[in-house]
Amino acid sequence: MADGRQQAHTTWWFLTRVPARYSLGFRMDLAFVLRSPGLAIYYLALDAILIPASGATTFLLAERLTGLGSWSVAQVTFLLGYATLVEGILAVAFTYNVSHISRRIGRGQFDHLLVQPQPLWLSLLSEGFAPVTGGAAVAMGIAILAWSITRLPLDTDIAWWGFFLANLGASVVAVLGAMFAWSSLAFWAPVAAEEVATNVHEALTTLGVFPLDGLGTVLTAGLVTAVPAGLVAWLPARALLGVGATATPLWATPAAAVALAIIGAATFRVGLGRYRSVGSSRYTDFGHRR
Amino acid sequence: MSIGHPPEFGRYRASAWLAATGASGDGLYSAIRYVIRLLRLLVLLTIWRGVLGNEDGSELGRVLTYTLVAGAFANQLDARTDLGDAIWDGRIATWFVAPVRVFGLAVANTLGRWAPSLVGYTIPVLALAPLVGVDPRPASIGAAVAFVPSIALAVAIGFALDLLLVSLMARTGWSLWDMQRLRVTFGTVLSGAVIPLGYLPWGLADWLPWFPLASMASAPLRIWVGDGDPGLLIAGQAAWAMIGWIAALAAWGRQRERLVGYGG
Repeated sequence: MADGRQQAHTTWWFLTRVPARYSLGFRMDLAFVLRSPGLAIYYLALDAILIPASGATTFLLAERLTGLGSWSVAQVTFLLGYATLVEGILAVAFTYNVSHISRRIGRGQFDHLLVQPQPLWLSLLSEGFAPVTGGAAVAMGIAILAWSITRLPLDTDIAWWGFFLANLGASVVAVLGAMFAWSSLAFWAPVAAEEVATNVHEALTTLGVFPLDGLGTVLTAGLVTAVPAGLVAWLPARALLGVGATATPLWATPAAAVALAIIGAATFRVGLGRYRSVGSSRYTDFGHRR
Repeated sequence: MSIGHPPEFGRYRASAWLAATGASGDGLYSAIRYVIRLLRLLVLLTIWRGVLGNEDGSELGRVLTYTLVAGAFANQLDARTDLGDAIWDGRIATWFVAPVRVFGLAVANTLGRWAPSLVGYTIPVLALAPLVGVDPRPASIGAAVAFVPSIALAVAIGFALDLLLVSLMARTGWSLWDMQRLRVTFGTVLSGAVIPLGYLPWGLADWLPWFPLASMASAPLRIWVGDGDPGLLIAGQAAWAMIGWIAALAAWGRQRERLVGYGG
């Protein structure tokens, strides 16, 4: 996408457009809610119940056994609240299959991004913004975190909150990095890998709500790199709460997130190169979903 | 039936075969799903070892076997057809003109799709379980024999629930994804498919086994590990299967004319 008008603008100029894009996303999402309040309440209620409920198994087990290993019930609750908040941020900022990008690639809908008169990164950064309909999970995540923090002997000063926000952002970036890296498979196998982002997301959400201590070196390494479920909540919560005999550095999750973001972007770039040469089969006579 | 057409069973078998070969065609991409399932299973086994490490060895062994068998037979313990998907993406239109019953076709497709998973995941997981320190064998020969009708009934209840939810979807217009999320979220916790119901807090273990979700997973798994009376567990499953199918057929009969396929 390199028409004359775009070349005249700098990256900085496009960055200044982000608030306007978010404002548009907010207004469109609000319009959806106001058009059908009943339906919106239904979606919000469902998210408010189901997203935190994905960690119900862990919580119930911790409650029954008064903790899981070196994790107390309150620490497990913090981990679950943190995981819910990460999922909520993804639902607010990267919905409409932006995080599940393999679906767009596999279905031939990636062209719809490429024909927009703005850089691809700006579309990916702003197109999935739905703060109203996605907000229920964020609210639930904050509520669970707040509840757990009141039961933990934490010294929550400004530095701690700074690290908390840095880790939270890093967890979101790590999840996106992994999902974009795996989704790149859809550039080569659009039909078979259309749902690979769903598979990875499922792995991250189902494994991300467990304390992963004691898994052994190989498994743990796999769960903070290839399928980084450990970065969804376990590693950052471990660092922020000081769980375990050995302290986890507060910068561990942000560092891993930077690495995953680089890998995700590089892999996606390679896939995009292939897409430029072969395109999509969606609109051919024998195209997928034609 | 006109000459040249296979009998109805043959049509279902052909549909199942097509679904099986289609699912096999995913090749290496199926392996990604198996790896994710395996990772989840290994995590759960590690957690159980961590939390029950100080317990009596036989209790830990029983829970590990329960968890492993639950992971190996996860598809059957949460039996779902793709009837809802077919409605959602518009395939249902072609299903209605196929020379077989719509739900029969959905079941045949599901059974076909399970075949590669049984070969590529279930059997290897059971065979290689000793490598991760888990004894996958049933508690006794009697338990192994009783497990067969028990898991068949679990599948029957799962399919009945599936048909009920699809009917509800047709009636209300609710999203397929929401219905699936509801089922997965509550089914995972309340059926005993992940943690044995006896390990739930607040006395939930006293009354959850009487509910249909427990008949879908907890009952066959308890039979496998020798926990409880197999006759009583199977009787409870049979009762829920009968109730579930009567309700499902009644609901589907009323709602099938209201179906709207979306497509896209």
